[in-house]
Amino acid sequence: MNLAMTKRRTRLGVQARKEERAFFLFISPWLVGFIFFTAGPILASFYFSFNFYDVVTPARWVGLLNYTDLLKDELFWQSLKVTAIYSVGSVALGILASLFIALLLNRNIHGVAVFRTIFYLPSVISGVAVSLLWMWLLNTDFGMVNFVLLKVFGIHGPSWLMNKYWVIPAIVLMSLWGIGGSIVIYLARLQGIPTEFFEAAEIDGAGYWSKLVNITLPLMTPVIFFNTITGVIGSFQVFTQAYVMTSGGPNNASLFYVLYLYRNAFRYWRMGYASAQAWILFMILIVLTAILLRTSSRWVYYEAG
Amino acid sequence: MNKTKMNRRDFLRLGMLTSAGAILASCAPKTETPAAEVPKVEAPTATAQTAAQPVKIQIMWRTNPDENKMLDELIKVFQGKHPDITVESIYVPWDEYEPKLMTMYTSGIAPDVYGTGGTNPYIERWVRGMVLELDEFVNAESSNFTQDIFPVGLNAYRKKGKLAALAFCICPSGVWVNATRFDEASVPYPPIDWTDPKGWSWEEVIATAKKLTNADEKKYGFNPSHAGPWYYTRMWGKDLVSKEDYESGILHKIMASSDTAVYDALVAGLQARADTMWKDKVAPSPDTANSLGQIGPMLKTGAIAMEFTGGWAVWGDLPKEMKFRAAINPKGGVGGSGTTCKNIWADPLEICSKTKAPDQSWKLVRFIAMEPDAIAVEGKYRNVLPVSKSVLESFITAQKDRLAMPIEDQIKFYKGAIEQAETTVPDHILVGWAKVRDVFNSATESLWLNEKTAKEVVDDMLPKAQAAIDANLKELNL
Repeated sequence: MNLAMTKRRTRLGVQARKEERAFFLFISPWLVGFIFFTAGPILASFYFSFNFYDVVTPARWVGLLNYTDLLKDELFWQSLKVTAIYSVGSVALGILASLFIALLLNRNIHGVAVFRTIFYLPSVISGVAVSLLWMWLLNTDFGMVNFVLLKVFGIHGPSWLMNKYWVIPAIVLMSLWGIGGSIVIYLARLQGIPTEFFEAAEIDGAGYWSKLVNITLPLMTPVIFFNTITGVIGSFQVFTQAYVMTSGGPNNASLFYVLYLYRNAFRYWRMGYASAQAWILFMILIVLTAILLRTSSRWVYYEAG
Repeated sequence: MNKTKMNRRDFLRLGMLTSAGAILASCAPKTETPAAEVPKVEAPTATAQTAAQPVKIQIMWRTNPDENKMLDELIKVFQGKHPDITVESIYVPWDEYEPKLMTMYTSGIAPDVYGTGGTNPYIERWVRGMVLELDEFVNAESSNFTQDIFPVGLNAYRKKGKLAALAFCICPSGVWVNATRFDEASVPYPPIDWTDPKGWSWEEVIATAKKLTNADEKKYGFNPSHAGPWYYTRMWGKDLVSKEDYESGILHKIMASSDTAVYDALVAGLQARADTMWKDKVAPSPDTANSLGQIGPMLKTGAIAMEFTGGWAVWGDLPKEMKFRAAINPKGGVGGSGTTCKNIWADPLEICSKTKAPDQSWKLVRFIAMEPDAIAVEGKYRNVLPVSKSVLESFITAQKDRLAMPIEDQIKFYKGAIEQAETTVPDHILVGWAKVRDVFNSATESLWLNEKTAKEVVDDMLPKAQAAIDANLKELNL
């Protein structure tokens, strides 16, 4: 082994070895942090998911009981349903809206940089502040959303956050607030599409829609695919909005999966049960991601491929 | 010189070893006291620490500007009286209080004294052995000490005959009144005498509220913020919790599931509360209350004339152009056949079962709860009443300008509220109540939104509540 190592070191050279050392030196804070604060707790939570555990008293091994109890838990299914509906709504709407705005911001017009900043700005505001702001916007009597609905369209807006049918659409609507990040990604991709494609299409007589459907969108599919996966994962982890704005109500209509997990862990002292919930969420996301990856070959176009 | 160099393989090996160690450490069985086996403490003895070196203790409190200033000042006064003790405060946001306390306790670095937090599940901590029982400290005090505490303050946290925590302040439940709205409508003020057997019937409350309501102007007579089934069952003369469960601190069942009279009281009470919005139309609907509440506290803005809630309704800055009063809680049932709901919020102090300085911690608890100079400091920052009988009147007198009531009426009201009080709220004193409360809250939302009747809601929520209790008991392994 020593001989092999010596040979390798000789092959690497002094400069390369220095770089290797520097690499390990610089990565070690992250690595140590990952081992202690992420990998350790992740594996511990897996162990605790097979226990009754309240953090304070010793864990008691119960095998799969937490998992089987969860499958019989009405609120578990309710939270899963709420989260799935939100996920479909927010991911689809988010992709459409951010792609649309990115296309607008990609046009060569005066002051476009200002608009790009304006559209990105909401993304940097913290979740709690955004939630409080939207509580005002969605207020039934004094909110701007209902005011606009009434003044512009003559419609009496619903009681967004107090109505079991409107609370999820309201939170989906609110999710548009954070599409700035996706817009930037779409914009970057749009600006990376070679202009020769469009020039060639124009010579062939293609119009705006034809170019959009036949050139822009196919070349955007890798980015749409990326945003879909990250969007789905993000949407299953929604917590702040429900915690701050609705507390899961009315009548559990906005009881998101992670909110219910949080309650079990920190309000009901059921850390083992919550750990099982966390691992089920992980499995759900793995399956969804796998499905998206499997289907991607049918609709995602990679130039290099 | 032959230097030992770490190559990538060694580095990864070290990383894996450290990771395995961390995992093993986190999975290792703990040596803490098993559940429900509350550690005993010896009678107060002199600490082993030398007098020359101050003993350092910690107290944890929720983040709240006024309360944090109050605690800082309390610590300053305490340290002046006890130069041998140094007190360090830890302030934690409300929602993070319990998770932080749990993890600190498990890590062996819990604060010596637990102050007021967010959700405050005091008995949940006791049943898990996180707190010292205080009987031996209290018994070691002179008889004057216990005689000076209002009985509800001393007994609120007595479980299985043991004192799990010592209440240090009391917030009475009552009906808080915007007297200006009463004056404008020429309506007489509501009663303040808790001892009057006639009480103040629910029908009288609604009749008064009707005179004060103008829904077109979004002005309402009443807001029964106490939405929970527990209150309404008690007002209608019954109780959802059995005497045994109150005594043990462990919730085993909801009495309405097996006792028809309790069930009827629960249904009638909840329906009456819903009727304030949809039938009597004297209270704002949840939606309207949500809107009005975003402008400011409804009692203080005058949107409501009466609020059935805790004393915090008249805390903080009160608008100078308005006057405020207090009144006794309504008496439920037809023609006042129920009972006047006599409950308080009693916030306690607890001592950590792992503290290395129990005597010093007790001195701090005793100081905050009972000593006049501490209570005077507390009065500067908030209006929560002390548990000490001897300072109550002077405490109320010092704050007499808050309410537009003669001082003798204020003393009569507050003293009556504490002396008549039977219990603090179940959130604080019953293991398993948190989940049941969430079940109740979710179920009753359909009632408050006028989507279901009280009976439908009760029939739906009782089995769910029992399932939540059973799941909790199964995990507690008592």
